[in-house]
Amino acid sequence: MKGTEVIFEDVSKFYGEVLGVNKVTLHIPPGITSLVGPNGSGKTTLMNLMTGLIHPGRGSITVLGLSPRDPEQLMRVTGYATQFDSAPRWATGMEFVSTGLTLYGYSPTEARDRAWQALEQVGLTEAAGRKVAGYSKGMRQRVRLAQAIAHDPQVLVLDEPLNGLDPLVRAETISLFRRYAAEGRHVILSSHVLQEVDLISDQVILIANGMIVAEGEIRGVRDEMSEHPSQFIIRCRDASRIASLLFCEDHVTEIKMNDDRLGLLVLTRNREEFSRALTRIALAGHVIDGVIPSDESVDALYEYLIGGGRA
Amino acid sequence: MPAAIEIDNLRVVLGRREILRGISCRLGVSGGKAIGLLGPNGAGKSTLIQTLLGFHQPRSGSARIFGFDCHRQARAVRSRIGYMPESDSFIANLTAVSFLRLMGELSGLPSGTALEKAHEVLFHVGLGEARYRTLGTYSLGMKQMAKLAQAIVHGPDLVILDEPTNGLDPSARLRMLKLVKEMKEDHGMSVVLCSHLLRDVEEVCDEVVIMKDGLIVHQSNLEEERRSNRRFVELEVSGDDSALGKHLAAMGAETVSEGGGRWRIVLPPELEMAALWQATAQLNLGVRKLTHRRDSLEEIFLKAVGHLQAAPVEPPRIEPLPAEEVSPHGHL
Amino acid sequence: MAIYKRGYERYRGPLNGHWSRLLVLPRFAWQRLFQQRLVLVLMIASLIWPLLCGLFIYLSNRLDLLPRIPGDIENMLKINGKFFLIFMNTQAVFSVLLAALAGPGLIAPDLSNNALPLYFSRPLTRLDYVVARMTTLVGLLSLVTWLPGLLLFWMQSGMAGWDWFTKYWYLGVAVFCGFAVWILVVSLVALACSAYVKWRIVAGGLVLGFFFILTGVAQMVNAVLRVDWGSLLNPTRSMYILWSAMLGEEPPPGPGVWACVAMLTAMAVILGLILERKLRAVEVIS
Repeated sequence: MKGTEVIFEDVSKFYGEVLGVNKVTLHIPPGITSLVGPNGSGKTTLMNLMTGLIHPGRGSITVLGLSPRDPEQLMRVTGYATQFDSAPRWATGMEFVSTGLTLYGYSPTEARDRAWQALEQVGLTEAAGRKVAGYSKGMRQRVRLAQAIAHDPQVLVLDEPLNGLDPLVRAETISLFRRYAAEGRHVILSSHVLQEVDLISDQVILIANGMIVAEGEIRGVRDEMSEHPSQFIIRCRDASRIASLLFCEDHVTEIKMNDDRLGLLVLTRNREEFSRALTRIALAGHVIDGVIPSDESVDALYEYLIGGGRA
Repeated sequence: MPAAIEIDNLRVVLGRREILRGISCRLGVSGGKAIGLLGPNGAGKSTLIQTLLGFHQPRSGSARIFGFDCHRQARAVRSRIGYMPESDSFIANLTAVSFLRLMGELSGLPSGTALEKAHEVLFHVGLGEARYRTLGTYSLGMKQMAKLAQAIVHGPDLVILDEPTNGLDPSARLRMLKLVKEMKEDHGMSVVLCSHLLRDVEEVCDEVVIMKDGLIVHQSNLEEERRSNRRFVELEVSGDDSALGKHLAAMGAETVSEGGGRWRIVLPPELEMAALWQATAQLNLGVRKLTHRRDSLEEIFLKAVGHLQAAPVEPPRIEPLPAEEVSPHGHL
Repeated sequence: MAIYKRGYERYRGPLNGHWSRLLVLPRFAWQRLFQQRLVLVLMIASLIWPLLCGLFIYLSNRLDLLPRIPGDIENMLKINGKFFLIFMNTQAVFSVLLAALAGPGLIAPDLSNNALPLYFSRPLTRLDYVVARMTTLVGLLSLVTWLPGLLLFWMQSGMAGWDWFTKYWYLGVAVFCGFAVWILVVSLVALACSAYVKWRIVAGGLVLGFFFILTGVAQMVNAVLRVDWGSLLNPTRSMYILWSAMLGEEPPPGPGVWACVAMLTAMAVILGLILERKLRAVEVIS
């Protein structure tokens, strides 16, 4: 039975002594999945394992029911755009993409057509005839993306695909990903821009030190983290009064007042109860200008689970 | 006090193409401000930065930093500014301390001071423990920090940062942005931040300049915009919010639903926030998020850049002038 | 108890002027060079011949110290143009070796990791940079070429007296100017090799090769085409001819002095242009 997931089963990969990934188990459903983690945490290793470029020392990997040890089959369904600037400088954009396609067995004419379509999707049709050496950083990024999508893969693996793109092109590329996800494909990408990860991903995988720290839908992951109470920032006028009212609620664990006495940072163990409490307070006549959950984002997750302060 | 950067009808031609087509602006009028420089690729941002550093001679018009002409008084300008290039730039076989000592002395620091400052600034950017290791052994994040360090070691009045958070993981990005904020707030330096990540610019910058096709299409003061505009509201609710749109419309508010319980609302002037709370309570919705927003930088950017999309203009081909004729128009 | 809050403070003091800043690069380079054992050893080896020459000069002026040997001693030990010619040739070889050792590490590290924008965003022009790098090599090579040469000349003048000096003053000038031209060419070659080749060993080999290979090419041209202007292609040969002329000795058969001068100037200019080309801080994509 052909699976619909990318599955890692207890996978470890070491390069000699150097750690790649350590005992990784993952089930990645279709949709947009983001890999998040510090540099050197194993994201690129995971991507190389997924696309069959390297093989695990231990464990097994299945991509849509196919094994990476069967590259003929696997390479047809995966498309990979690495973070390294590997497009050959002497080729034109069109040559780069269409030559890659002929390797898949397409006839030269069909390869050119498909290459053209791919280049259209990334918005490089004007520059297709120019040599890659003359491309700007963002254009080189896009031509690599084009060669990854040209053969219509089911699983798209992209290492920092939005790096160096200006905001317009970012937005276009993101809608490309959304289209793919809507068609039931896998789009697996890694990114450092957590705000974007928040907006576009269906699932997120946090990885650090070669091990998976969290996986799943962002809200879902947050809900599971019971040892961290939720944080909310409240903008209000009568801060001390509202604080005293909130202290009476037993799900509230900590309240900090802002220096300007116009805001509160509230930690609560139960978000629904808190929401109801706020509504009660607002209806009782206290002015509440703003409610901001300060930790339901990947940013907060990252902070809690991976932490900062690294040299 | 002269504005940090004054550009007057600047035109720059490279090869045969006019890259900067007549820009004028005054930036950083009061010191210690951060100016964001945005624009799509090919807008001319790099050329502008290179012109400010004195690498290009303007075809006409002028660019001045702290009153000094960028091309003709390049030495004076360069001794007052620091530059952090976008691309990887380092000397692999020097230790961080030697590297910064070299850069400091090249900028004019006396040698004893250069050594002191090298250590100080390395600790400041978080490379304290690694400062005796050669730069070739540094990770990407550390190299970015070293690049920042060399830009500020000589205490310049203006620092130009080109994509400073490029390739940094989230913790390093936060540290970098914190350092930039300290630079302008605690040390009084003016900062020009060139970045594609609008979020970085939003967090750090006070003014914003957006370029497209060699022209400035938007210039605004983010601080002022932040202070105004209480009427735009972002709301996120839990529960069945299908009736919310109609309910709010009946109260005179404009609403846009983003799905997933997220709404963007424009309140009419006479409507108070309390009304929103009442509306959600009546519909049995829990409030997860409620914020005021001004036009986010993303929208400003898209509007400004889309603005010229209707009339795309091919940059005109210019014949190079014979050498004797090159001179900026009379200015000052 | 007092609490001191000391962290990074922005520097607001005075800045050094142009000339002291120009010396920064040479100072750093010299410091690093003299930490390398090989450089030190080569420097010392380069000074052995001048030492021997010094001894020779001493003996030639104090013939009474020598035991009676049949033959025309006085003529053999005479200090004249030929003596200095031999001296200069030997030191020239050492100077090339030193340049091959010290040169490659000067520019290649700056280019391999794109450090030039960091230099040129400071008050430093491309010319300043090249001058500073040249100064490093020129200073180093001077220590083994005209400095000992002039010392020897001064020693000889002192020992041989005023008459000798008035007769042979041009030898001192020739030593200085001849070496100056030589150092200029060698430095340019070393810097150009360093700018174009990233690996230091290969760049060093290239510097050596430049001189040896051109010698071979010149000889080939001469032999095949049966001419003698092929020697113009050989900078060592051209230099030899030039020095012979300056030192008042009979120049060896071959192209004339002015042809050599012209050729050397052309080489220097070409090398300078090549260097300038490579040192652009900014990639202009037109």
